[in-house]
Amino acid sequence: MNEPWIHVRDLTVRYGSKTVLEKVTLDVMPGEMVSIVGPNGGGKTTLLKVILGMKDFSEGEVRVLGEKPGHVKAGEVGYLPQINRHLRDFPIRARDVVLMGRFPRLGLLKRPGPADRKLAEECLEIVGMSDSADVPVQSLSGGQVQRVFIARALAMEPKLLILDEPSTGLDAVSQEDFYGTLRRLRDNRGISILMVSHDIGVVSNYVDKIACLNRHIHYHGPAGNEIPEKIIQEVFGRNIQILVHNKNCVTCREGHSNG
Amino acid sequence: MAEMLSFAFIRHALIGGVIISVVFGFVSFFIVEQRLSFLTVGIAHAAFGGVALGILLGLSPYLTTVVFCLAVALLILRQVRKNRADYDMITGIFFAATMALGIIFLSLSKDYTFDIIGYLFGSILGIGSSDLLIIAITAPLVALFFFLFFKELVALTFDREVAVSAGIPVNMLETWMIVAIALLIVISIKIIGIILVTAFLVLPASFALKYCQSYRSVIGLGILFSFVIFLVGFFLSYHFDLPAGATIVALGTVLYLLPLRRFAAK
Ligand SMILES: Nc1ncnc2c1ncn2[C@@H]1O[C@H](COP(=O)(O)OP(=O)(O)O)[C@@H](O)[C@H]1O
Ligand SMILES: [Mg+2]
Repeated sequence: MNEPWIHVRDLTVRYGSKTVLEKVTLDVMPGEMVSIVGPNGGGKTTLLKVILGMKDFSEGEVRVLGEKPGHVKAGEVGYLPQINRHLRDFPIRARDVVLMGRFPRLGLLKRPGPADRKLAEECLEIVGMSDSADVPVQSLSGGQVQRVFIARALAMEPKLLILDEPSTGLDAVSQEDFYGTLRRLRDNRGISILMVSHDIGVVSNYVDKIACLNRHIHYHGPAGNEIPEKIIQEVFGRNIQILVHNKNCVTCREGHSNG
Repeated sequence: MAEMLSFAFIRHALIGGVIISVVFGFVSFFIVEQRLSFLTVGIAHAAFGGVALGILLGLSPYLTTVVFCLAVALLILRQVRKNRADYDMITGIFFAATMALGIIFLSLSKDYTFDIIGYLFGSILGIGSSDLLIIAITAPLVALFFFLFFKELVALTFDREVAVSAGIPVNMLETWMIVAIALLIVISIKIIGIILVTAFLVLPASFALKYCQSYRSVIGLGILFSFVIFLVGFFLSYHFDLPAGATIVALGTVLYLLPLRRFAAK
């Protein structure tokens, strides 16, 4: 019962001869919301890709929903990649993008029906994009596209959401909104969320656990507690003040809890 | 017109051309959106090596071309996956290599009676009933593949990474898609020619993308476009005694370039 939905033990990953992750250990329990923070190039995306079964690893043990990565049932893991180079000139309306989220669960040779369309509408509603359902995604802003893509991931009805810098393209206010939405999703549906985030200060108000990753996991513990200054220095280097100005800011936290 | 249709070879050309152009119109969307235009150039040119090999070995050029083109298509795909490279780069290598092989095969066979121009630019009126039979069986099979796996192909075209992560069998579908495209190219070379076939694969969706806001309408308009340029091009070429493949491609390119948007009620 208390098996973690993501279980990473002593994971080491290399690109060629370069070690990108070393002895990384991380657990995400059912219904838990966890954020990974860390500097660019720290291996955050790589870790997500290993969990998704898109990148091989040299050493360690990885289990996702009890399975080997990449062997999870279709549609159980929703994923939002870091940036979306895919929009290009693909003409498609927001609602049809979200409907794509139904495809894995439907399986081969089945077409989406009215129930799938209704579910897609609901997912657009959750991310606050119902009004743009018929807008071609090419003409949406970066933040709006992120929302539509989250809705697509939700339409899969996943147990696990894996989000790589989902707040990119959102302004500060929408970010708070957005994390609030994720939190409600977690509360209502009991899904687990693992996301990469840069704004350690904001995100720590919403998640259960924070993992600081820079090749190693430097800190893996409950959010809200103060992360030791030494660790932050180690993970981010000198420029950390900007990132963590409010890492434990009580006023901030109270300000947002009613949102 | 009635007189024209009384010739069996014209009827063959028309029926074969219509079937092929409709399937091209359908498949075009996936080729354009997945940036596979140059791959289709590479596969089509591999046919030159395939035909030359057939002549050298004294086998049916159809047989050697199918084998050769499929082999090249799968080799390109394998190299792309193994080296995490672009299709462009790998295709560039194979494009030159297969042409080189073709020339070597031809020089070895010393058969200069063979109709190179016909293969390069198409000889639509040379379509026999066996060619037509091959087209009538293969083209619908190719279309069927794209129809059956339509939603998965759309998903992987739109966002490959997410499709992989969601458990859609992306690699398998991609392999079959490229096999299907290679087959379609091989069976249409007699009609349109090695050099011109890419235009037919790229033009329909490129044209439709200028005017459509959903991928379904791009595919619909692409099929219509492909059908129209084939028929109109074919009759023009007959009427003015021009090479058919070239006339169709020239007509399609002109339509693509026309600033029709200004006239489209939008
Ligand atoms: N496909 C790749 N090939 C080689 N090196 C890579 C590849 N992807 C990422 N890396 C390297 O791995 C390291 C971690 O990258 P990444 O996981 O993207 O970091 P983050 O997401 O934390 O910014 C970087 O040094 C990057 O250069
Ligand atoms: Mg990253």
